[in-house]
Amino acid sequence: MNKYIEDLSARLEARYAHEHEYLQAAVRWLDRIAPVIDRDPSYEKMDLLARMVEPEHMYAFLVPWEDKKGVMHTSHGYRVQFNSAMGPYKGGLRFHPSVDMDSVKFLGFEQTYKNALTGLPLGGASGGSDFDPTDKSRREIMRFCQSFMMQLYRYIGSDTDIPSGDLGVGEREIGFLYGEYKRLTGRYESNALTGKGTKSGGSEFKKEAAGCGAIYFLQRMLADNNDSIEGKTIAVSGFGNLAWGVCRKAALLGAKVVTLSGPDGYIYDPAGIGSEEKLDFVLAMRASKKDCVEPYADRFGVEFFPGGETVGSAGRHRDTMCCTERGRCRRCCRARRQQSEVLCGSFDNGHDDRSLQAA
Amino acid sequence: MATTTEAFRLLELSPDVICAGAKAAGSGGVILSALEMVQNSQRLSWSRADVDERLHKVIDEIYDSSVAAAEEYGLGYDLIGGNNIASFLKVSEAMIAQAL
Repeated sequence: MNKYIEDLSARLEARYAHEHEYLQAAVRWLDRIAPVIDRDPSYEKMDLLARMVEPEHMYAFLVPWEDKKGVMHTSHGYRVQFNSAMGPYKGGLRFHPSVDMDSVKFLGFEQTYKNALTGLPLGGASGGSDFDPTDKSRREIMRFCQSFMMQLYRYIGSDTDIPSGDLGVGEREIGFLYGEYKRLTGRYESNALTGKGTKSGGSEFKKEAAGCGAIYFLQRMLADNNDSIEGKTIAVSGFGNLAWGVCRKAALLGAKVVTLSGPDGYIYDPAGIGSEEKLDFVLAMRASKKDCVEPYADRFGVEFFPGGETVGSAGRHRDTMCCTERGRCRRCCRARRQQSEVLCGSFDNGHDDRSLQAA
Repeated sequence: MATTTEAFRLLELSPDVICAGAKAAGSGGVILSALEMVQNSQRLSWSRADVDERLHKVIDEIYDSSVAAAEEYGLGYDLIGGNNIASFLKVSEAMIAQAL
């Protein structure tokens, strides 16, 4: 074990013991880049790693908002600007009750290195609020977004920090946020936020991009192993935008996705989730905000496996496995016991122990 | 995160399993964001096919740089190791150049 990494990990552990998710990701990452640090002692001389594992700026603010009955509520808002070496800070905004400084620091850290990997001029950031949009009306969400932006606008901008959507923040929310930013600054600064609708300067191909990216990467993996995607059977966990995009692109390339999962369990469709009708149904299921996949089984007469069982436990044959959503694939390791050839998905820096206990 | 430590260990220990890593497999979204920014700066909008083609090119570069970085640091064909190292080098080189 590298001495510099060991010391730095100990320092982080002492200082951030309460920030479980961030700490685990940082320590694991330090371990992963050890081969580079071993080879070049100048990193230690510069103490560069200390400035790579912690955010450059962190903002926390209060977001008061009024519900439809006229009652006031107070949510917490965050923006962590992690690293700006490669470009302006860039990362999502998440509206979910689990959002706190720890989770946003963790996401900002991951985002920094994910963005850097693309080679594009992007720094790393993350942010959001513990506001829960699932049971709110359009009007309540609009008011919340406007109040949130009233605080956030002073920290962002096209050359400073460019937020995009994440869990609970889609095109509609980005529209509300962008409109408020425009009112506050008096400028049509379309680069200040991404994930906008195509009528407000958003890009074509937005819905498909995430799934296509995963499939293109999978194609390279298969090609390097003298194989191709054609005819493959794919297991996917999750049923969001990325899962939808993977189903769609796989079908176009002659492969088929046979599973989708949600917090309620998973579905197994041996014919493949590839027809226009099925793909549209998946989108509608996600948009319903009920957060479950069982309706798919009811609609198309396929099997549903409820409860803690996740994709891979039904003993179906498949060649490829693709995990597309955080926290949705706790026992995917079972799939490999069932003649899987290739796995492609979010198997990066491990997990956090809370999800392990939950599984 | 998508996998538990237990699941991840199993995957890592299986010679017949290749893992892409979340940063690489999930990068389509942020690439699209970056492409949106380019279109905004130019005050232009590209067609779907144009965006798709550019996305594909960036994914290919991610794959190549991950494979090369893993190879360079003696990890063999290790995509997760490679993408961690490749992204680390990109950020650290920029920080050193800017004396950050």
